[in-house]
Amino acid sequence: MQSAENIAIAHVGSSESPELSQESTFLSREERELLSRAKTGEHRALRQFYSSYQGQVRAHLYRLLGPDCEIDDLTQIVFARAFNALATFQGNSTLSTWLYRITANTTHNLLRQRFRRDRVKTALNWFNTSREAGVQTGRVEARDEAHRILQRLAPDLREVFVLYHYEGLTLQEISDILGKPVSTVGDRLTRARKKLRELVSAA
Amino acid sequence: MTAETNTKRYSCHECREDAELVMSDRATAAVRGFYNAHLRECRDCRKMHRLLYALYEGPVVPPPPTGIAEEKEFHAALRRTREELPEPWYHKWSLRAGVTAMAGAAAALTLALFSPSTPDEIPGTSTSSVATNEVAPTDPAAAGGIDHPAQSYGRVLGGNAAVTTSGSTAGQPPANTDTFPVGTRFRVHDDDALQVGMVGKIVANFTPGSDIEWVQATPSLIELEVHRGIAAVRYDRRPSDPILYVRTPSAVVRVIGTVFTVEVDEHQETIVSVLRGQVDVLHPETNSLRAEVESGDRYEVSTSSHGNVGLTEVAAALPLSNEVDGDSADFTDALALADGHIPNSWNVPGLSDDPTHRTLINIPAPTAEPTTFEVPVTRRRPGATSPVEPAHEQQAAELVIDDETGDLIEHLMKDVKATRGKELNAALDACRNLYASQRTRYRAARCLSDFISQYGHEPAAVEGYLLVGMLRMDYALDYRAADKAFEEFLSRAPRNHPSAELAMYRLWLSATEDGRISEALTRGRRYLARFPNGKYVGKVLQRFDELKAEY
Repeated sequence: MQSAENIAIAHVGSSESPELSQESTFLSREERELLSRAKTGEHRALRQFYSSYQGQVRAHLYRLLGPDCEIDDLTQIVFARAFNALATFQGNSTLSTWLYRITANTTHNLLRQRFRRDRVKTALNWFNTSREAGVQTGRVEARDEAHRILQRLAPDLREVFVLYHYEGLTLQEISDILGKPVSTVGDRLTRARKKLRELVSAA
Repeated sequence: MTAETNTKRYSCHECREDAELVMSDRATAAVRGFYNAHLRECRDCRKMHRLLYALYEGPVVPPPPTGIAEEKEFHAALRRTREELPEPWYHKWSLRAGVTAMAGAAAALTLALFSPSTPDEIPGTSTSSVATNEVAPTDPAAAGGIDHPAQSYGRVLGGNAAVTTSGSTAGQPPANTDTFPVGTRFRVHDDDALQVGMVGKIVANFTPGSDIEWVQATPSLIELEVHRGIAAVRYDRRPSDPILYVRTPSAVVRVIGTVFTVEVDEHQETIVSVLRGQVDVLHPETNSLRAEVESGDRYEVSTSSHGNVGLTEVAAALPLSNEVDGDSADFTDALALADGHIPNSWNVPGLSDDPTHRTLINIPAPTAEPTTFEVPVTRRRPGATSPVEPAHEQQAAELVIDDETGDLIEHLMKDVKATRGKELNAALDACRNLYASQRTRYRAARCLSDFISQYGHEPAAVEGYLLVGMLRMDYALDYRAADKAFEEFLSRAPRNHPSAELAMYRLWLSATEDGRISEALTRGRRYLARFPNGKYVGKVLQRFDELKAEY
């Protein structure tokens, strides 16, 4: 797996950038061409790359973090890291998987920090909102409460749950993104579901 | 065991165990039946179901930013790209080695010299981005164009003006005809107006009495300066196209892609009106945001007040209204043009959505005489000289459209009269009348398009394709449709047709303005080979130094 450090080390236009694998089954001819141009720092190619994938990145961040004022910032950081890392991308995965990987690397520490920081606060809020939950019936309220429940899930479990259920990725793809064995990913998914069931029952 | 017994034994525990199976559509019909029956009776389980359903369904994601917001985010990402670049190796080395203070100072100096700067640039104006590897030309006239210097020219589509061209077009004199370079200033006559196209992407109408200068064209920025009068602009910007700035004495209008007007009145006050899309109005010195003006809004900078777009602005912009709704696959549809109605995509408060009522006369609360601005195009004056004089500092010249289209219509009329009857004649006559009038000239395009669809198969009507292609290219910037029309003309017309040269020139021009440079070079070579002494040789060589060596 490519770590956040690795991403930061590479940069656009590097003379040592590896060539894209011509046999890559993950990229279409158009994508290979776009990447080649983007690697030279061509503004138009970078813009096209950004336009094609900003929706995916932003939506994933939203699903992972919920409504959050930092999403704009994080989207920019993900693309900045992607632009800097273009030179190291060899075409061994789809572009979208590669971007999920960068997003996961970018958000992982943030999720853990927040989870630790907000644990007490979230539990307190949870207690209060659970007492009032009996009067909530609407679809919007259910969504809000679902979001709050999701935030109580440990970051490792939440990542897997979001990638599997919201992004529609397979266990193998998630394994590639997170750099963990498929068995670990499957285990995390089972634990995430179980924990969510418990949280929902307790609500 | 009966179904009733099973239902009774199906408790909350079983319901919660099965919830996930039901939601992921993996439960059997029987389990689903028990589950639903239990939900009907158990309030707590209904709540659990609703919550779990919301969890598995996921949040509703808001749409990603578009237009200006998207552009801002992209440029912010580019800025971060520079900021996140790793430190150069020599920096790390110097720190690890614990070099002397002198060495540290030297390293710091080296860093200062070679590290990419991270200025707080306005989104859209960044031309020194590490990620983009672009270098901003500081001399507007020496700007490299968009992708290729051949694109950094403008063309007069219609009208008259006195022009001055700055002397800094080093080595690239605007040799002849209707083509002008960056650095050209237009002083439009009081009784006339001027329509121009710039870099193959922007169409503008300068109203009578306007004083407007084309200041800059770089890969990321095009800049106009309005000293006086109204500039109506249509810019259907594609994601990688440059941002447009329109500068006035009291504001800067930042455009991502839209139809709008900028007026500088006699008191040097600025008024910005938007018909489609959105623009940002910035402070001219600090570039801080003053206002976001949306479609239908008219914004007065001096008072910071918003109002509704009115007749003056719509009339000024109407010659830019050539739009086709949606993608047309059919050839004749692709050549369709606006017919003088205000497009549905333009937001004019108080104007009906009914297309038949979307005309100037139906705009509420008129603020000016519409006829002042409508279709400001004039014919070539007899004996007129070259429109743009060679580049001499502040040398004024009379700019007149090179009226190829008018001549073509006359030629077509003669052909048709010689070969066909009254019906065809009448149809073409109507187009000619539209074209002849200053007020209705741009509507001739629609008329000709109809003419083609009805009589295009007639050998005598072959020039109609050429005409429609030219108008489609000039007013709608639809180069693909124009290409089709020119190719159709060349395939139908005999090889020695007198307009074959014009068609080949236009094919070259279309590829050039559309930024298809390799195609333009091929077409340019083909033209030069076939017409080595042709009347457009100068125009071709003016834009491509590569071809000069071969010629």
